[in-house]
Amino acid sequence: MRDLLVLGGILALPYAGFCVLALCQDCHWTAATDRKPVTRPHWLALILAALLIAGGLTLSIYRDGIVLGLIFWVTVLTASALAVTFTLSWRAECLRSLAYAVRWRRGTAAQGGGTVKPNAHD
Amino acid sequence: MTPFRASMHWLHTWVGIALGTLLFAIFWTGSLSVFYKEIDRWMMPMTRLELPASVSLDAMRPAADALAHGTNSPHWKVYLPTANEPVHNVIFQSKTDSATLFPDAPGNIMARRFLDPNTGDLLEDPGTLGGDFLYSFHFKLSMRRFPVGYYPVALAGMAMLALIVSGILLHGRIIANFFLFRRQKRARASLDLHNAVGILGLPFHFLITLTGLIFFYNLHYPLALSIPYGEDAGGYNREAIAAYARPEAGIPAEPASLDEMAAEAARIWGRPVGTVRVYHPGDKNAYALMMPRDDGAVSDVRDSLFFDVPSGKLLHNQVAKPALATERFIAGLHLIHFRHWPVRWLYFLLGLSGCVLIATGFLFWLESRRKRHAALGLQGVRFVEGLTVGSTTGVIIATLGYLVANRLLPSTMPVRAAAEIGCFYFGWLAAYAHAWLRPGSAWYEQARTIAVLAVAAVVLNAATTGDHLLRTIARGDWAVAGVDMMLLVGAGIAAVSARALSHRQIAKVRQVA
Amino acid sequence: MRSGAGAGVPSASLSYAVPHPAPDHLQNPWAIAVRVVTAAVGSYFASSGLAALGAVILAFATGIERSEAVMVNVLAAFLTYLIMAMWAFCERRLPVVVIAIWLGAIATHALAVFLVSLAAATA
Repeated sequence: MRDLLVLGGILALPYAGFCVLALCQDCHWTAATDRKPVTRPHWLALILAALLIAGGLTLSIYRDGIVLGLIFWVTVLTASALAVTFTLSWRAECLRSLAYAVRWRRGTAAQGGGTVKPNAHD
Repeated sequence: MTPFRASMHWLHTWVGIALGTLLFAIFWTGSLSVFYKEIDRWMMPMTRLELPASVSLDAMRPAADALAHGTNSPHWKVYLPTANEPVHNVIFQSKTDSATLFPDAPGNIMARRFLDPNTGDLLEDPGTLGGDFLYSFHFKLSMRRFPVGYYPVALAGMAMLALIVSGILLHGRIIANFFLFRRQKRARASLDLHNAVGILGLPFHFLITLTGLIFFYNLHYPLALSIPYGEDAGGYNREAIAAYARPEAGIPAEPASLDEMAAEAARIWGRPVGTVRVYHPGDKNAYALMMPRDDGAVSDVRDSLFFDVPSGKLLHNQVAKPALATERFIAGLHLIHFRHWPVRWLYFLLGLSGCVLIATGFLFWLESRRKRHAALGLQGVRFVEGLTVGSTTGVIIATLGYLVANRLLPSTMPVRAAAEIGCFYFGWLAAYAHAWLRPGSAWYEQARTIAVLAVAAVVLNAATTGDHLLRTIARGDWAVAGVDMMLLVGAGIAAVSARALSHRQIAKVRQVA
Repeated sequence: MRSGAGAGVPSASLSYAVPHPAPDHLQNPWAIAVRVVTAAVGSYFASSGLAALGAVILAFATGIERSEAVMVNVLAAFLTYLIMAMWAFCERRLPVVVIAIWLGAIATHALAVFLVSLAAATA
């Protein structure tokens, strides 16, 4: 059971970190919130992302030692970054609350006129 | 665009088109090879046995000696039973097996037979190469008699490295497009996915390719290994690998207990024995090579202990030098023999992402030239589209055909393994022919075929062996259950893709009409 | 499948432009063929020769064991092969590519063999 939690952490922490990084980019923030951003991302966001990704590495080394831990973490990085890409493409609105944590001021309404599809990137 | 960037574009495009087929096949069979032992269990029902608590080498020695009898330099190698291969896996040189079409051809082939883990008796001939066909296709195109298949694979590997580097050098907005995948727009979707998988998967793709190439360094750089030693041609092998060998004496002698030698070896290493090789069995100069179980560390360690078989005395302790140990670690990164199921699954999925990388590359090439070629009457898109379908869905159909043939062909058939392999290649060629003859509907029809074949394979497994999914899960036989489940998942993906493709077909037809 | 324009009327629309025109030094088919052979085969021998030469020099200059020197150089050879093969397509001047790679392949091998025989003779 404990091992499952550690494994879950190794997979979830880098995923969360990459989500934060993606939401620092304007087009993905817009995809998540349907609004145009008016502020720059909070400076803490990048630090948080780095901590989350490094946290995944720490857990992985804790579970499997340095060599295997590093190998596991590098493969998890690719998998979680791809997972973020697919989240933004299919279910960007799931990241809405995280988006507002990254940029606190709610932006203006997105591209004026007509309905905007949730994952319109341009 | 600068000439440098234009060169990178040209290189990436042309090397991709030329070698994409071979690279897709290598990535596909490579991904399957992560689970080649599980595929073995699926294709060889007589080996779906329980792993016993302890195995005896002395019990299996007579059967192995009998298998190796009769070649110029008889020797056999056994992989002792493990969790996902609960039988003795004996490799020996032979002139023929059920995959050999021309038994009088020169040279020997490496044949494989299985022994019961409890009694050491020979199990019936499985009549199939099983997952090992896919595994050896991955690195030598399954050429069994003549070692020529290694070289196209190596060339493809080097080309893959060039594709990766050129792909990065020509990519404009790496950070800006890091997480971008605009799947709604057809023209951008394949390029975005290609870029995403390529950039995000960069560490994996570059390292898996490079480690795969380095693994066969002695095959690929013979001059660099021999020139520095001048007259002493075998110098590198002697200094770095330092194995032990001695010729046959021609005098028969009784062997001592292999189990005691294995116990001694296990005592020296602190780990149990995993592989045993016996050279010149039954002879006075017979010697045994023992290697430890390799599922602990990353390194693909080949440190061995050599024993004199008639007396049981330790002859030689072969330990890798630091340079060779580095190469063994690099090899271990590719082979992943270590026990860590999350990493094995991630390698499997990332390998499949390599397949997606190649397929989306083809798709983007096609989409960005379709209108131009149609307007100017060029045949390039038509040819490459057929090539793409045959290389992607085609090789998948070939693999499924191989599995289905395994369940359908009677086990008493003489060259059964050769017939199965024939089904593999026939399915692949048929897919190409179908793709070139019916370009409009090729994707849809081949996706449907994949779904049908995958479900058929699962049904046939249940029908011919009685091991349906509920029974294998209840028994804890995750090898067979896993293969069945992956077949069903694959069938699901193929069916969903077929539906999406058919909607597009209908829409396209409506648009033109 | 045609997008509505009458058959045989060439459209000037942007979608019919060649996606990425090849650079000048990659237009001539013969030049391309020479570069392909030089990149695939010539670079291989150049990297092999460089590895052999590097191993000989490394072993005799630093005194590390010969098998270690050989292994380090062979590992590097995979990367030098890659770099030289890609350079064969980037460098604009074809004679430079051909001479550098093929001459380099022959010269490095010859020099390595010569140095080894020298060392064996003086040892």
